[in-house]
Amino acid sequence: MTPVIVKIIAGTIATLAFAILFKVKAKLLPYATFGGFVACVIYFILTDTVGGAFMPNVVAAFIVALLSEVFARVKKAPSTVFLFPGCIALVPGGTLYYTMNSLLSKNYNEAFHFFLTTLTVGIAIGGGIIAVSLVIYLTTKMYNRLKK
Amino acid sequence: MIKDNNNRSDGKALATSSLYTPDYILDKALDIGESILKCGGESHRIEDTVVRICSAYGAEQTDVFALPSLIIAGIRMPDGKTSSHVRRVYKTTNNMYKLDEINEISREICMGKINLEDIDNRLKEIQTSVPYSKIISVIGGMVAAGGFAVFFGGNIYDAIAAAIAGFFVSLMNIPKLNLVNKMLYTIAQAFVGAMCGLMLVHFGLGTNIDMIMIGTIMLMIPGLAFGNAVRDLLFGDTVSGIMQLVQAVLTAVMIAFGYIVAILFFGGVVK
Repeated sequence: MTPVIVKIIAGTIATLAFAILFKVKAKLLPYATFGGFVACVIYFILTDTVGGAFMPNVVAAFIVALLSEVFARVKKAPSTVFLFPGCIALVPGGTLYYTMNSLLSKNYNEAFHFFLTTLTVGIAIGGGIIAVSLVIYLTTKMYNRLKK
Repeated sequence: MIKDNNNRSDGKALATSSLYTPDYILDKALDIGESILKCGGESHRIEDTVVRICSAYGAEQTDVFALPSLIIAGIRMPDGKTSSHVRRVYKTTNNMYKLDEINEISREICMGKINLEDIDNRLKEIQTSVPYSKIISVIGGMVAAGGFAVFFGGNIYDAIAAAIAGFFVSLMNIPKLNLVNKMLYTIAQAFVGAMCGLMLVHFGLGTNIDMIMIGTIMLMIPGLAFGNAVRDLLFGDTVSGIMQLVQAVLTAVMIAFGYIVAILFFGGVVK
């Protein structure tokens, strides 16, 4: 088995490569890559302690989305610039492959299991991101009310 | 982030606002909105930007509805003049460089730093500028495929094999093939990726075919589109969310189809 530390480094390098594929500006690359690094670390820690498909992804997506909102305000760039590369390591490429591999070998129960896992991860990523939008919305509303 | 319709008309009109006809203001605002859609911006970002620009130039009421392939917008000025436009967009890509630059332009417009007449030139500048050369994009694809092969549990030889397969997959991005039909193009890309993986394992480079395949899948997977679709659905942009969801699922099915065809053709070589 590949050690977790190697996996985290590989995930971070892959995030950097994806940030280049998404054409993130050179001066914003370090921030986008940092988001991917954080996502990998949280994902592996929670997979070891909590397990399952939902919790690690939803927490990692939440933290990455929160980080990208912070970076967006500091660097005056859209939050998507940091969010897309940061979340790419969470994308369920593995389970999608195993879904179709099981379909190919006519193992339908297993295929359904992997399909559900893929779906769960997708919903977890979306849910983590929307939770941050909600937090930002509520805090700005509270801030505006306090200012009055 | 979450749309707040009550705050939209608060933007103070700029001093020069009366110089422009409603048609002209809406046309320029939609130029910006269309550019955001083309480089992968979300529906609510487009709607928000168009509303901000129009109200900065004195529109009393602005209604925008953005889909992943269409923008509909109408404005009404304080003197009762109205205007409405529609824009159709055929192809969208993920280009964070353009998104960043267009965001900068729209911020400057709302602060009154640049005139509406200058927008055309600025947009043209952005369309022609290229942040990374094609060679760097191909290398990026190789590194991404290799990195994810290790991330999902492969060894160094799997990473090299995945990088070689990723090279051929990313090479297909250079000619504008994907203008023909996105679904056929995805099948072709998946087929090439799987074929390269199977061949490389057959010739002894890389041991885990699973990890090599996953590495190349990550280059074309619609996982982010799926996450975006879920976010749009939860946001309340239901139509846009469903459109993206259907696109994401279809792309995933096409990837699976391309891989299955390649495995049926070349699978016997490996086993």
